[in-house]
Amino acid sequence: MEYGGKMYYFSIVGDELKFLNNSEIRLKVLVDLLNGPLKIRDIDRRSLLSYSSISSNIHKLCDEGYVEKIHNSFQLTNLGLIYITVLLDFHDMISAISDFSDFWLDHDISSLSVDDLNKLSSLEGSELIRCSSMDIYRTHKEFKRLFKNSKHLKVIFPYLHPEYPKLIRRLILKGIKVELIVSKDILDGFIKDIGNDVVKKGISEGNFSIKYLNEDIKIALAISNEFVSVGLFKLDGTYDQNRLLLSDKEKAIIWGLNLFRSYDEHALSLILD
Amino acid sequence: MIFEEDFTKKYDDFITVRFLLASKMRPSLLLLLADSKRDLNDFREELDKPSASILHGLKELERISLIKKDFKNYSLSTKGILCSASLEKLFQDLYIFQINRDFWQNHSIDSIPADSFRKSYLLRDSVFVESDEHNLSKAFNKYLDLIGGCGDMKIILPIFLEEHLEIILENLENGDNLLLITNEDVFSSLKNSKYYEDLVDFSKKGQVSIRKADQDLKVFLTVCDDFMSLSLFYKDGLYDNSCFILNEHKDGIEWANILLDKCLENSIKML
Repeated sequence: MEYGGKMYYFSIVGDELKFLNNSEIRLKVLVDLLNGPLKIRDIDRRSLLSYSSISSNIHKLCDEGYVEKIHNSFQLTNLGLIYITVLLDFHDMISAISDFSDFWLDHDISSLSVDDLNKLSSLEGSELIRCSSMDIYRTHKEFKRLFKNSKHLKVIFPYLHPEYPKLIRRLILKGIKVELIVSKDILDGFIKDIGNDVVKKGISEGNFSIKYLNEDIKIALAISNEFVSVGLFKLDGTYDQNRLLLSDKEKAIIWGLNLFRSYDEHALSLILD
Repeated sequence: MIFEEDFTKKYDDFITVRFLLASKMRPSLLLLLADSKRDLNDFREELDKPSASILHGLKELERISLIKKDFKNYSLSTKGILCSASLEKLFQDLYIFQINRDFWQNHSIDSIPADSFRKSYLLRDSVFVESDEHNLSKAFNKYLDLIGGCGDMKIILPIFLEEHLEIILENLENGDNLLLITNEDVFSSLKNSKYYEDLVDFSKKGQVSIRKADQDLKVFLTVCDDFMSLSLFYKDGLYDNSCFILNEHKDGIEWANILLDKCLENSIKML
């Protein structure tokens, strides 16, 4: 097996993970023990699991070095702590994928780097805003509502919607700090719709910047002090206006800021006459 | 390890996690498809498993839309790409702990935040430098070799050793910088040592910053431009000078910087 290849790491840890995941009880016991040492009857009381199942599995966990018995209680070993911590991070990543299955499925995720994917657990607990036949502009309205309440804003716009430049214009005039990245195709239109005078004013006063990328942008991203929102393109190349992933959690906002930064590093600054 | 949340209520459902990990076939298929699309013959050759097992695994993955079938070829859906990437991270996260279980089992990990374990895929290219019966100071000497002329240094130092300070001062003489985070005891020893005056002089030139952590330090971490090294204490509180983790890659250095920054946040300036 090729050292360092995908299958190599799996070959090293696969058996241990199979052992832990063969039983839901083992995983639940490890999670329970994260809160500190417990007796079997304490775990029994806290869960719907049977005493004998807990006892049998906790002893198997002891045999494999994940749990140790101290007097009459059981506690996690270092490896138990590490394995369940990493597994819960994996759980969060899988939740972020499964809970928003239709957000990811058949959508273009080429805009996300390996690093972004590795931190996908940060999006766990987000909310997927979907349009419905009773509210076909729900994502758009939500996007606008969030903008209005922001104290500062970083946005990647891959497309031009007539209302967004107007919204940005109002924010700039209110003195709110706005940083935009757009694709080159829509740069001129965006500036024209915001208004050249307002763009110049914002840049000179330091509360507005607009950068552009020559290549296609395949993600819509907005981050403020209070939220992060993500929109994706479908695999047929059209932007999915019906779905918006939204989170107000700090870890998700940090995830969004890192993603914005990676685009910002490659984006070109606008030079105004 | 430092924990920051109550987990019991949050994690009461492992259905999808177990679907992906309780079998070795399903992760294998997802990992192989991450490289390129494949047909049944490709899987048979690579996995050396009977067709029936492979087909069963593929059907299960197709059922929850992780893979797609196009005539004879199988490929990942977008959701499958994300799951495969998550699996890859999980396996890389755990690798460093699995290849040297005894090291992690026998040492204190109290000073390492839980978040650092969630990013341990960054340590996947690390090596364990260990002393042996032929050379009891192999790890110690290797560390001195590494730190000699290593450039700017950022160190979490929970032990006081003159040999370390001699080399650190040589590096400072050469114009390198030092950020040192230490504890009360080591800082007192430093103050009473012959090296302190020199450190003060370098500090005045802006080359040295010494800080004191507000927690018990149980890691000896060195971060330079080209490597990071990490030693731990035994669970009985004694420092283990016979082994350290060495990583000479960008990712490993990033992991060390994250740990160092965390420690830096909870420290106060002494010099």
